[in-house]
Amino acid sequence: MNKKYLNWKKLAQIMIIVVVIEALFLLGAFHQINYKSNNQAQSVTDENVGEITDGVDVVQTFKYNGDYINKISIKAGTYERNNSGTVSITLTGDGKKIADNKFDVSKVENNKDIVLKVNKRVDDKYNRYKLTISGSESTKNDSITLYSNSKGNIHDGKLFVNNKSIDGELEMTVYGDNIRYIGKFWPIFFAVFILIIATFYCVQKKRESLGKKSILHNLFYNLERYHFLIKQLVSRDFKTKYKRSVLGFFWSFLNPLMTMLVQYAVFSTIFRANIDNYPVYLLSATVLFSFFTEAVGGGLGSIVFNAPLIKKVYVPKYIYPVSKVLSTAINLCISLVPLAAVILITGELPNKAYILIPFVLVCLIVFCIGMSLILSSLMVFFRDVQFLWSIISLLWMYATPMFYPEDIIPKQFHFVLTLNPMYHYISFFRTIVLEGTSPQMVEYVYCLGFSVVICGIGAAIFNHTQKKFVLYL
Amino acid sequence: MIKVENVSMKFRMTNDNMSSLKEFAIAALKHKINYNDFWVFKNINFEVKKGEVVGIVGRNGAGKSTILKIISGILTPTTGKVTLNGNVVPMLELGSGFDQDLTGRENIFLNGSILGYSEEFLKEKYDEIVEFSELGEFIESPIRNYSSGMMMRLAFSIATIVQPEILIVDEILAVGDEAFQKKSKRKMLELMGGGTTVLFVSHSIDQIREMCNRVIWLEKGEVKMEGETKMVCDAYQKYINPVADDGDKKHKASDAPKFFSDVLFIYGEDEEAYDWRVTNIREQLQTGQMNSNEVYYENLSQDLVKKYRIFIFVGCSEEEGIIDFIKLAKKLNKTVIVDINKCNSDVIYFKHQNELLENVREYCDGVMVSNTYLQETYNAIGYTTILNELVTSERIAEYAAWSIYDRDVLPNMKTKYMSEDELINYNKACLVRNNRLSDGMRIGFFGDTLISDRFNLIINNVVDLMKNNGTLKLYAEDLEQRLPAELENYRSRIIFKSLTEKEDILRDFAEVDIAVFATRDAIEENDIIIKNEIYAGLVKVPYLAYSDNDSLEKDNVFNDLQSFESELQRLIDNRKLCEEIGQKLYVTIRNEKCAIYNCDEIVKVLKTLISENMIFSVVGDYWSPINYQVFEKAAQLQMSGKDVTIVCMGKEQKDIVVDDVLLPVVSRELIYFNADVDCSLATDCEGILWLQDYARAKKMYYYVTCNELLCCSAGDRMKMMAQKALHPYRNIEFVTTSKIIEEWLKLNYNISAMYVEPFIKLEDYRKIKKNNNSKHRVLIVGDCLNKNDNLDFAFNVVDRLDKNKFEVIFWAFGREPYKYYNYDKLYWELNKCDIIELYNMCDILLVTCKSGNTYDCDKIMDLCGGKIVCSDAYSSTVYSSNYIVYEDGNIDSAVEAIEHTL
Repeated sequence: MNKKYLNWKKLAQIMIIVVVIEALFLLGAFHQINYKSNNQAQSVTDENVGEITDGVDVVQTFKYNGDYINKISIKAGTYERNNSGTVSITLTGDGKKIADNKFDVSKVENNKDIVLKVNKRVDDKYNRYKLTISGSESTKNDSITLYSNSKGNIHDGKLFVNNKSIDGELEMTVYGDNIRYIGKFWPIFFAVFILIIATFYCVQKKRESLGKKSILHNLFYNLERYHFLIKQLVSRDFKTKYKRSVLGFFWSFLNPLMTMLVQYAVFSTIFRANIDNYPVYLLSATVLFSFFTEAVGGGLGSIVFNAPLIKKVYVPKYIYPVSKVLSTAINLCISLVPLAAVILITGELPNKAYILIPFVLVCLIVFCIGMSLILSSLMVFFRDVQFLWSIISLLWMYATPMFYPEDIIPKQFHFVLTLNPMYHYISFFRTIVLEGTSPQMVEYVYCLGFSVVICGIGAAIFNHTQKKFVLYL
Repeated sequence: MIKVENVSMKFRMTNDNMSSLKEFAIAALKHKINYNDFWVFKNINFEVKKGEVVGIVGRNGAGKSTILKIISGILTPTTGKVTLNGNVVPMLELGSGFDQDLTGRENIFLNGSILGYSEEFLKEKYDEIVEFSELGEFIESPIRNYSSGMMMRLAFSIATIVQPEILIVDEILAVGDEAFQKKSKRKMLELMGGGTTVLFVSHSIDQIREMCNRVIWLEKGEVKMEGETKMVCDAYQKYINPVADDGDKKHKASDAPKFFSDVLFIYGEDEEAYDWRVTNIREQLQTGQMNSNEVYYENLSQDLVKKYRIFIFVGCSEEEGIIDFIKLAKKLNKTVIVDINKCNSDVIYFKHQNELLENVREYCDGVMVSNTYLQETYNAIGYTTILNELVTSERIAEYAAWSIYDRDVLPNMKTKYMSEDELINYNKACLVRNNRLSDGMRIGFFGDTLISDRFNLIINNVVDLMKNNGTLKLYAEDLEQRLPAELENYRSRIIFKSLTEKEDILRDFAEVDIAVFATRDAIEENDIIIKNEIYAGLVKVPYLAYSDNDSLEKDNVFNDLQSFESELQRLIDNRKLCEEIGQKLYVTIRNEKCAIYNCDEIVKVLKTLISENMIFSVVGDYWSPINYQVFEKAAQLQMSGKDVTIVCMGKEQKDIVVDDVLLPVVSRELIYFNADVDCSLATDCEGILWLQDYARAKKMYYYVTCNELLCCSAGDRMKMMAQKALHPYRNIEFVTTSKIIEEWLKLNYNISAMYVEPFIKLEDYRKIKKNNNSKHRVLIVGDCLNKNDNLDFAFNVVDRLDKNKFEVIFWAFGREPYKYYNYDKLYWELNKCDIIELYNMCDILLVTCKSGNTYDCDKIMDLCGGKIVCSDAYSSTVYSSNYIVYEDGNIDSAVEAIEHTL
């Protein structure tokens, strides 16, 4: 068989890139490939169990059907005073001890969780777990209490205080994982993925050698041909953005930082209690969302504002929105620097999950390109789009949990979040930055899905309408 | 290269431009969106072949710009297809995508990328762009600070840096100040001339005439006419401006002395000669890659002699001006040819031609004749003859196609793309035509009126035919509709045509079914028969001729009246036979008598007659010693029979006389070069570039010299100059006056340079001072071609000197010095001995320029033992004790320095 049309070197390059991406993915998200998180949480409070003084035992029995228990957190109250003594917490399963620990009461903060780390596989599936909390060395008016929900039955257990049964259950969360049995086969999936890419490449080259041209080929051909133009347009946008301003591109640092500070000053008192590391929570959303509004806002005008050019020179028109988004993306990269600073200042440490950040950024950029393609082609026919967009983007911002915790949205409105691509990108990013782990697999699907679908729709609309642009400009 | 097939373009226009959603929604709900479909054009078809320069003319709104936009891909046609073969550079607007906030440099890359240039290409050409734009250091500042002229200059330089395969130009872009406009126009011409396929839209019909091979005329969304430039342009101009004076224009259009070209035609009063011979031969030459121009004899100025290599006189009479011109041309070793033809029936013109020839017999290199009979005649008298038989030009052939349109092609015309209105008109036209056919045969008598001697020869036969064929009609040309008595009975069947404008001649022929000629003396009228044969053949009409002499051997020419009549009768009876013969004749004429088919031979012959030409490209200062050496050689070559031309920079074109030999000078700033050059020599690097890019020089020499003196100071400057000219693709031979350079070239580049003795040898200077005067002589050397600050300064200094002690001597180049320069003695156009003398008699040389100049006078002065007073900013390689330095720009200091020499 004649394989002259194949460029082995290029194929090898592509293979290496694919393998590297897979390896990075594996490194960042190994846990999430193999496990699916299974958390069981009671988060509503209406009662407490009284002070846990010396000799008081609080026992909570519960059921849990996960394979792993990572940790259990129990919400404690201090009566807003300084207490002393210790609390010991013990977890047993069907009578067998699984984990225990002692906590210094004086270090417990009001309305914060006490966390018992477990990190054990519980695959023999205990029928019933028992959590015992007993106080020691603390007297009345010098000890903490635990919150409970008098009507809750999420944990399917019973609550005893000093062996006396009480209605309801403790406000506690069991964090655990289920084993994802399909996850074991990841090497096979990866291999299949490599194979698919390789076959696709070969088929593409074969078609090319036969003189058939596909959309994808055209796309790559155009990218190769016009990459210099894109580079120039991007660098123009970037260079002119802060030209003639004194601070220049430092504004790319300052802008998100200032926004974050303002929002922090306003909202921190309102939401602080419920959110860990509020500055990072806020800033990560601000950076991503302002990229989104800026990129799409710039992209949607790119066709209309470049009208003199489009009327006089032939250049594939999609280059204008794409280059606009890309130049904003450079800004995004710069504004990640202050974010990193804030992360370090607030004491979070970089972790291996950070290697997944490029994934979400690429998805976001592709999504923005899609949006820009849609809106810029609409804009040609209806100039109202630009005004409409400023309202919509504002609405969008409020619909996205940027500065408020996501759990204040009532359950019945959760679909608003599920359907909001920006929510997924932001929460993906936050999971990595704040929790230091990879998000759940389903989040990958959401992020990728939204970008591909929107970009596809955008390309279709743009392609369909672009012939008429010149007539309406 | 470019193929436009059935392209239609429809604009859909809403009645009011709805660009807001609300308006659209309301209108859509009310079903009130009215679209007006507007067809800019329908079913446009044309093709542009490789290397053609095609112009598009048409009035505003004819769709010219739209078609350019479609071809360059900006607009997509509603239906139809455009096929392109090669990379296209559309030059529809300059500076697309310039960003005001970026610097010139950044904008070069931005704009370049938009125009589709690659990064490597731009990096490579960056310097060239900057240089052409003349922006200098401004290139690093943001273009919002530029003047509009600077911006356009930059934009133009970027746009024209490529050599595209297909160039699409919407108006010639001449931008900037006057000098740059000239430069940019030249650049455009160069771009369009370099074998590139060009599609060109312009409102200036003169530019179209000047540059295009072919023209397409768009009118109301259709191709109204397409064909040879002159024809379409004439028709178009007539259409837009029906009362324009035709005769005047002819002479004006041909008066274009701005080119340095191969051949110049000088035509006289004889219009036929102009129309047939000049146009046709020019077309032949053009096809054979020889460039030509034409001029009406009254406009012939002596100045034109230096701009061409061959002069061909067509239909001129022996005028004093012409004879002087020919003498001058021969003095400059140009080639002179006189054309002898008899395509006009007017004997007077033939006599004129003959008389001119006799007068210039000794100067004439050859006689161009139109038939073998004339060739034999002139050969016998001892002339060199060039046979160039009467042919037709492509242009006339195109005219023919238009005549046929009315007559023959109509029933066969493609009906596929016609609109309804067109179809109705077409059908009407067909009806008329069919009626006319059933009307009977027409014979036409051409070449004279019906009461002429010529017609008398065949009158009896014609009367016979009219009598025998009841429907036969006779078609003849006479303004006054005169008839011989014999034909009076048939007046109703005789059609008179009065007007015979050149464009209409073919139409006249097309009106008849059989053309008839008669001649009394076949030899004399040879050319006339051939000419009419061509006319008839082009419109597919068979012809018959009667001649009372038997020397013309042709199938259709009879010298027996009886067979002439019977053959005519045979044709009258058989319309089909007529058409067959007509078709056959048409093919013969197109194949054998169209200019293109004869071009090779005539070009070959002309090339054997032409004398070798040489161009010497020199820098502006004529009389500097470097140039003088060149002039000397040029004069020798001129004497030995070479066609020598000096090409200079600047705007002076004054001819030079060296050793009593006249050397013609042309300026490369003022004249576009469009001729072959056999041999060339440049004295500066720019000259080499120019020779290569503009003058199509076959053989190039580079004369590496700065000054005869520098060979002793290692010649760094010369090395630099030599290096600049070195280029692997340039085939240059080096000539040098320096042994050092000769060796250096051999060693470093393996180039064997030719060594020539320097004009003045160093030893010549080593002489004793010969100042017998009590005053000290101060020498100032300078170039007055341009305003010169250094010279101004020098004269400010010498004005302050004590007139009793000092004498000022000025050695000037270029132009006469300004009046406000005060000097005691002026030297001008010096030759070798004078130069040496000058140095020896002066004591002090005043140097006011800041960099080492080309003449290195200071070093010569040093050698001669004089003092040199120079500015402390002056950079020289060697300083000796003879140098006295003053503070730069300080007059007092300079005066003091000069006085110090005492």
